[in-house]
Amino acid sequence: MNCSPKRIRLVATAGTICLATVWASSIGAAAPKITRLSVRGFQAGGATRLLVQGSDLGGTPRLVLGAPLREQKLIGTAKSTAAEFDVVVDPSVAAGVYHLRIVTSEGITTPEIVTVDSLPQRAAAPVGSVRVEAAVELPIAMHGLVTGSTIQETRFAGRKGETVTIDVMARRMGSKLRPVVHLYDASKHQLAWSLPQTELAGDARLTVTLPADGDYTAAVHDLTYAAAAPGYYRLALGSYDYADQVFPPVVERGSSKPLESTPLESTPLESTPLELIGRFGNRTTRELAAPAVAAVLASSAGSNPGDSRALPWPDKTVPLGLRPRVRLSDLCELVEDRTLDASRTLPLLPVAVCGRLLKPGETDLYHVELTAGEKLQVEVFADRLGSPIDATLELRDENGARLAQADDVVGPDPRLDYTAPKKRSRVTIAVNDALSRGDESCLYRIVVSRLDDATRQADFRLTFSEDTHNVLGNGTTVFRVLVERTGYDGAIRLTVVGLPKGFVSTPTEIPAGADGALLEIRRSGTNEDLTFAPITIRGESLDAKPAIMHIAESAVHPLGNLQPWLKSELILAASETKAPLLAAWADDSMPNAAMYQGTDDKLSVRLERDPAAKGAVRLSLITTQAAPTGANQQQNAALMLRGIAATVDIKPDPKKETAEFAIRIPADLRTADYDLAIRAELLSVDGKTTVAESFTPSRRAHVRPPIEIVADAMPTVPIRLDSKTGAVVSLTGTLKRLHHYAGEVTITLVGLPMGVAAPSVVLKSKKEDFRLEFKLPPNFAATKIDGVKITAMITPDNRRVNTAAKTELAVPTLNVRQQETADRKPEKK
Amino acid sequence: MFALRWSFVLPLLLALRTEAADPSVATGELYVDPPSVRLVHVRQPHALVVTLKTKLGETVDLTTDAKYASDDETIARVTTDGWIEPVADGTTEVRVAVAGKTATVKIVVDLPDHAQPYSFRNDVMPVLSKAGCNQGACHGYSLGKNGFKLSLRGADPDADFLALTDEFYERRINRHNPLASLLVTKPLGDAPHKGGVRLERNGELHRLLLGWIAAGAPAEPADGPKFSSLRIFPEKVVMRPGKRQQLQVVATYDDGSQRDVTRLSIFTPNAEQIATVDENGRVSAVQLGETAVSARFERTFVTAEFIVLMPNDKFKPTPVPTDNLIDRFVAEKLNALNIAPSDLASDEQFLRRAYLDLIGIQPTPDELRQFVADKGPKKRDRVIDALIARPEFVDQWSLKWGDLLQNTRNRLSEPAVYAFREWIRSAVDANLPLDEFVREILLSQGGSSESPTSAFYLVSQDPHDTMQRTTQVFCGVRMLCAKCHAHPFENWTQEDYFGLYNFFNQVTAKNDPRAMGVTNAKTVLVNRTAALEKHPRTGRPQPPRYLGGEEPRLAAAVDRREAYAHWLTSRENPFFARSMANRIWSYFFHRGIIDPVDDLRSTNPPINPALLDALTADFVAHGFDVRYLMRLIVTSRTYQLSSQMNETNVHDDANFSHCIPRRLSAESLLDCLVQATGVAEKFAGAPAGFSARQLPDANVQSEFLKLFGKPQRMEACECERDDGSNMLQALYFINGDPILGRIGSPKSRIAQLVKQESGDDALIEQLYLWSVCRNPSNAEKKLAREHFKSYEGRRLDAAQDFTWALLNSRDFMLVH
Repeated sequence: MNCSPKRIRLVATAGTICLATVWASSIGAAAPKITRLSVRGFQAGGATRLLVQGSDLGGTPRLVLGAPLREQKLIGTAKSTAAEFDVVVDPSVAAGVYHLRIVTSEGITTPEIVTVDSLPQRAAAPVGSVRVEAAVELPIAMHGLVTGSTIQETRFAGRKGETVTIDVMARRMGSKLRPVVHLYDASKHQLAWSLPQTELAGDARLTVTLPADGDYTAAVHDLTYAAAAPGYYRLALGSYDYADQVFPPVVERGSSKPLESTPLESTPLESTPLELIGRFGNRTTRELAAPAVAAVLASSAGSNPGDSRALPWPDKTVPLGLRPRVRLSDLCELVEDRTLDASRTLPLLPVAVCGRLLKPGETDLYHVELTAGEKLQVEVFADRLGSPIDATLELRDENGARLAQADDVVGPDPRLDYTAPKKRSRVTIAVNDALSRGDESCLYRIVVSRLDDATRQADFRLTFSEDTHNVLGNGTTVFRVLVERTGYDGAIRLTVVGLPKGFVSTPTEIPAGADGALLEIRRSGTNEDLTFAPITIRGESLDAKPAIMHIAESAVHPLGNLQPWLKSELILAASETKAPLLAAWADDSMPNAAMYQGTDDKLSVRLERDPAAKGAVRLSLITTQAAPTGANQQQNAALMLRGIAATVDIKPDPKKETAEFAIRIPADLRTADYDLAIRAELLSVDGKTTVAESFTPSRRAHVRPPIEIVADAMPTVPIRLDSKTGAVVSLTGTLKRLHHYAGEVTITLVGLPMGVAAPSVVLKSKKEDFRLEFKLPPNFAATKIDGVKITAMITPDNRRVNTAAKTELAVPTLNVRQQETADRKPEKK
Repeated sequence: MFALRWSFVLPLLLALRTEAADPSVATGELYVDPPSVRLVHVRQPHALVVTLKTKLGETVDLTTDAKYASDDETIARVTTDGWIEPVADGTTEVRVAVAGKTATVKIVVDLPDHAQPYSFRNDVMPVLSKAGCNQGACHGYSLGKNGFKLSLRGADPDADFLALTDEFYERRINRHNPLASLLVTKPLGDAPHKGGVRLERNGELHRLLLGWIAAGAPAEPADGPKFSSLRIFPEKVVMRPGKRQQLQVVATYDDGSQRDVTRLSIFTPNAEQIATVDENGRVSAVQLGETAVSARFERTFVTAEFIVLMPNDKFKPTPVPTDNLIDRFVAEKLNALNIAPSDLASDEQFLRRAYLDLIGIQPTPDELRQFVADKGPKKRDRVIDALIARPEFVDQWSLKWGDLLQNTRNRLSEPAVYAFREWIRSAVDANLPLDEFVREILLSQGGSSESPTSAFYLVSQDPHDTMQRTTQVFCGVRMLCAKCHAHPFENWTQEDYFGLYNFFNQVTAKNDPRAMGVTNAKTVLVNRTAALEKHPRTGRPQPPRYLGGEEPRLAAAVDRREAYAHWLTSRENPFFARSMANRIWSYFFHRGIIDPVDDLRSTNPPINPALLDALTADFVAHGFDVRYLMRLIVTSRTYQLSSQMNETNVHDDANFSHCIPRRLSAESLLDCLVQATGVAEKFAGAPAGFSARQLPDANVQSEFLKLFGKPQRMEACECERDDGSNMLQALYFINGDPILGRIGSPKSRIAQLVKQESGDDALIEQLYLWSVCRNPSNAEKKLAREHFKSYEGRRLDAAQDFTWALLNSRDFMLVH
């Protein structure tokens, strides 16, 4: 045998792989993952063959669709990397997009977005395929993948006079492809094309009447020929119906109260005439039957404001694409009455009105009565509702003169605040499109409210970043629930609803002012019946009246704005396989601690590993700090509460059970409570993949400055100015050093009036008392000085001289008086 | 129009063909222009232009040879050089005698009863211009010279009047002692003057200045006549080298009066190597060729065209075809110039040229063989149709429009560049009529997703840039000069500039709120209520004004671009179709009929006006169909002429008498190199698999393209593309890795051919076909065989070196 070095290397590599496989199987398979689907859509009522590629798909994998499946049949035997199914979706399933997952005995995959409609589904041949595809028959939905600069073509047979719509769905399915579609005739002459369209969330669509019988080609590529992954798409070819928008896009939640005094039409839920805007045969709009709408919205009374409801498709249509939806609101929701020209006066505020710019160049006007000094906020929703317009907003006086204007405040949507002057009693709100467009799709919604209105309710929104959690037999999962606060700054109690048997969650509360909390769910026993279960995280305000309750949603769902009901799905899956790695705090007895701004700290983690586990353990930090942004609104890592190294790899060492993880607390980190946990990942031998993960319990810490100012004497009596010498003012106090931070502290008085020199002292490491003196000149005007503060700044860590933590203490109002005025007796006349 | 013009010139041309002009043997009529003169102003004499026909019909200028005499000098005097000056009311005759011939000119003097006041505008301003006082290098400089500033080339007579009469303690004008006025003493050289002596003592200019000052330096009379138009005579002249021709320039005023302003006009020849002109408008032919001589008076230009030609007894005119308008007008002009066109190019030459010009790449050996073997009728027309229908045609012409419209990531976001590129490609593919193409561009607004053509506006830094680019690309007119002053070579003024500008000053841009974080992502808005820009000199809002002067009445709060786009693309527009036809023509020849193609002006006339007129009319008649126009050009015999010259057209490089070889464009050269060697190019910064012609812009890493002049798309000028040749390019082709690396690559076509072809002859033929698209001649075959023989045992090396030689040959580098 010829043992060349190359051959020896091959043998060694093969050996390593075999060993790794044996080891992996000894500690159990991991949760499944999907990397690719041959088709991303199913024909309702028809059979669709689906090839799933990924990892850990072996055994008896099962498809889980967010809609009823009539039948699913595994073709042959599932491999770890691939499984093929014949799927029949229940014919009653409404056309739309749904979540698809695969569940095995080891867990469940993260969701993939798939379509369901009445079209036959077929996978497109890969680009560069040698096989020449025959022309497909219409209608059909082709599923393909565009990578980089590739152009994928689909040939179909068309007839003269046939109207064909070609719809590329990519962004609306979570793909990163920016699709451009071209239609060519048999001689490769282009008949039509489409760029990514704003109103299709960046997807492309065209409709064309074919000029002759023959073969046609639809070609899809990325806008800049640089498709990012994933670049999948669904190409629908044929004649079908779709709805891109609904008018009105927002209706009042529950039963609305008709407003008799307004010429505008209110929108009582029971008879809301909802209109779909898109294409229905030869028509661009279609009105939904009121009873059908009412049936869908019947449960809206108890839902959250801002929730959306998927609407039914109209009868006798062949729909596809995203489900039409309507949002729910707690405001008085009105609809523009187009029979009125100039007398659209809005009733009592707050109020919302939905309207449309139906003609190019149209400007819609609404009048609002104001009292002197009243503060008004006007906000236009257009882009956020899927409207193509770039709305501009103006306030005008009775003569039509502009009082205020706004553009592009929230994305392209405008918002402005306006305070009525003393004599102003009536203003006109003018809305138009910056590009003077107008048609049925150019809808908008205006919300008018008073800024000082006591009824403006404080609110919040809860989000989670990972929507799928696979928990091993003795394992724990910890994940972030963050809060976006809009006026409510109090504490929020989090409750896990629907937690299945065999799991427990630690009662958790988001502290007042905090960005969020880490939620911890752990296995408490076995539940052989359970493979997965949907759960819900409910947050309730503890300090608001009336109480606010919201359900947490995914912060990163690609269709969060388009099909919002998908983003509340949170799945918990169980595996009876024992976790090969368990992480815990090494110092369990240590109480939750404080963290000091501008300092570094170390966290100690205890790791318990299966002896068969040979790979390294990677540690990373999870916190509840919301991603901080700098001045340019870009995420700024320097402001992050973070590990000094983002991850720390711990090599296997049977003698060592604990590991340290160094963290950095930025000097600018907001003073608040933060939850921390360490995520420990067990890596494969080659260090490239994560085999299992474990979390330490969550620990809460309060972040504060490392120093504290304690004032001794503050000038509470009037400061008397001598006419010749002025006055010298002294402030004394003590500096308290926390946690033994001994560096020099610079103490300064800030906020003094112009012309007064600000005093500053430097306290050496062992000094605590300080005195700040400043002098007021003789000609200083008698006044009250507000806003003066004592600031103290320390560099806690001498190794990082540019990092300084800061604290401050407000000085009470300084009352300065002239000596003569203060002491002189009134003169007799 | 063209028929009239040529009916005038052709007899002259025909006469020149057969006999040398010699006044001594002249026979026939003596012509004096004008045949009668009416003098109505005491200070405005009139000159005569005297011509004589030779016995064979040649017209010869005898103005300076003639003798002049007035019948009654109490009514009118005549100078020795033919200037007639009024003396008193009455009628008389001036006799002109030359070469034994005489002619008489009727003179009517009709002076007004009152003294004729001096006019600052009509008497003084022309003097300041003629003497050069107000030119850019002198007092017309924006800061003036030595404390004295005049408006550039007399753009602002009112300001100049104040500068002369009010500034500097009124020392420039001495009303009590006119001779002591600085305005006179300095240009006469009597006082220190850095500009030197500008006036001839007691000459006409001196007399006019002095007279005006002596009259008290009056302001412009309110009811004085105003200049309205200018005429030059003769407009077309054919002459032989060494001969001269006197020009006459006549101004017409709004009261109907005419004035001979020849001595007050400024003359400039376009090509001094062909003909020169003196300050009095006397043109001297230098060598064979064509040029135009322009005359400027009162910021207005007129042009006379000159053809300098030698007679040729043996010349046989080419039959003028009637079935192709291009060949017809080219042949007529060539016949008139005694030029015989070259023969038709061979099939191989034609095919390669048509491929390169229409689709930017060379034909493959199979395509070439198939074409050469085709014995059917109209095979050239058929292959042209096939080329126009090919996808590479879209690549080739989308690249051209991408250049012209400056689609570049230097100024646009990446999505915007690609969206605009897609739009251009779709428009070219669909053969969108050019008027629609331009309207869609000009009326765009919004972001790149809803309106890809909005990129046209986003490229501009401001509306000034937009206006200048629009005018240059779609009208072939450069307006930049007129922003600050009257155009130095054309009649455009600041009124014209700001009039055009105000069609575009409603256009603004803002960051695209839907594309936050995307560099340079902007959206175009039209502020319909934007006020008109004020004329910088008058301070008054300048109404929108089309090129040519018409000021449309536009309603308030409308998008003014709509009126402009409609005007621009209307069939009657004298600029758009003409400049576009000329521009497209230039892509198939070495030059435009007017050249440069984006510098159209009256002082740069077309080389063949009849051809351009006919081409323009046909283009309009066919609905601005670009493919039709291209097909018309490429199917013409003129296009298909050989680059081999004959003895009559060897000196001609302007009249399309033969194909003039030109270097392949950077992109074509690279793509042809890739095709010849079979080794693809990878461009960093561009999608994989793109050819050079498909690149979105010049923001790619390619030393090759940079070296061979691919434009950066920073200018709306054809001149930004450098199709010239230089030593670096030569060295690059000799030693550069893109050539050597390709040739030496084991995956190259050369290596494959060496494996496939067992015989040297077959291999040599293949290498010729892939490299220079033709079969080798017998001599070349013989040479090649010897080359391969000398590489005994190293056949691949021989083939590689042989290919290197072919790729370095003119046959590969040039379209010929």
